[in-house]
Amino acid sequence: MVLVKRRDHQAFSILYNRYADRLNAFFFRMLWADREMSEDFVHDLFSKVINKPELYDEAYEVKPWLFRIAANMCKNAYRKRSFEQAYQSAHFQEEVFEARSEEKVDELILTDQIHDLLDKMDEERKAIFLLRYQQELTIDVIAEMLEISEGTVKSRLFYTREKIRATLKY
Amino acid sequence: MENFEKIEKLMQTKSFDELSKEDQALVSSALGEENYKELRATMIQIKGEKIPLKRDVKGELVKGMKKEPSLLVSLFLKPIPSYAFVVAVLLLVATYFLTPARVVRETLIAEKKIPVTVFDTVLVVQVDTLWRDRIVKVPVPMMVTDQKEADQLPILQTSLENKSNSDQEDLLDLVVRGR
Repeated sequence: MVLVKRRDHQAFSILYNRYADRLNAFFFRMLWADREMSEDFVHDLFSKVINKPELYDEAYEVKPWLFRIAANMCKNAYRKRSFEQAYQSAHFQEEVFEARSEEKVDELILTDQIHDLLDKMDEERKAIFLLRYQQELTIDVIAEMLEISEGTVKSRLFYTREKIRATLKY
Repeated sequence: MENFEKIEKLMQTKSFDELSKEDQALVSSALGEENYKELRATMIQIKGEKIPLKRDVKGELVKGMKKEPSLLVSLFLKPIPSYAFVVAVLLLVATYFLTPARVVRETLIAEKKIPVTVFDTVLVVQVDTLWRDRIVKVPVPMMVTDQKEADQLPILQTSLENKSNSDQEDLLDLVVRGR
């Protein structure tokens, strides 16, 4: 990462090769299984790494640092989407209804069981679930990344399973 | 929460059927058999998941990295601490006021006269109207109380000429004495 700060192409290539596909998977699962969007997010994230290397805190390991940025980007994406949905539902109720019905058909064709399960979780719990089981980060690292206590991470993961259990009953 | 680590470990390592009867009871009470199986399948499926990118994102980014700004642009983009900026401004101001003004001395090397024909235009204003003062004399009768003054008045003298004494007396009564 120190070499990337000095705009070393090879160091950047190593960093990219190590984490790009993992980050793409994280974004894909977080962002409603939208492949194009996830690739755009990977691009944006690495652009930040190149253009603002001063953001890197050397006290952090690279992987948690990258996934911390990724989680924050997803948080912003969820916020933006909620604003858009609120605006659309307020102004174009009929059009939105039609668009959503088409979207549902696509989802039925394209989504898999994982997406169905993850879609039932809220944004924060989904992020914790993916960071723990997809990216295999430890509880303490996730807690430090998201600035919450380890107990909260555990309870939310547990609650995740509880919630999934509850939703699957219906 | 108490059994979090244990359930998680079991979920990552053993299928429901592989669990001991004790563990099966624990898992069943916490999650339920079906949910345990589904969650385990999901966790295994997403474990260490990598999705390769279709786009050449790396190529785009490396291309962008190579386009480094020119030296001049990078000099302008270089952040300057505010104190350095203030010091630089003060130095400039001090230099401006403390340096004596330069006196430029001109030395004549050669003089060359170039004849220049000057075409000029003179505007002549023609007088078309002439104003002249006209003096109009109008005889005005004046009341005089004194004989001497009356004698001095030319109008009275002309009026009294060639008149009889009684007429003169009447005229004087009218004009001078006001009877």
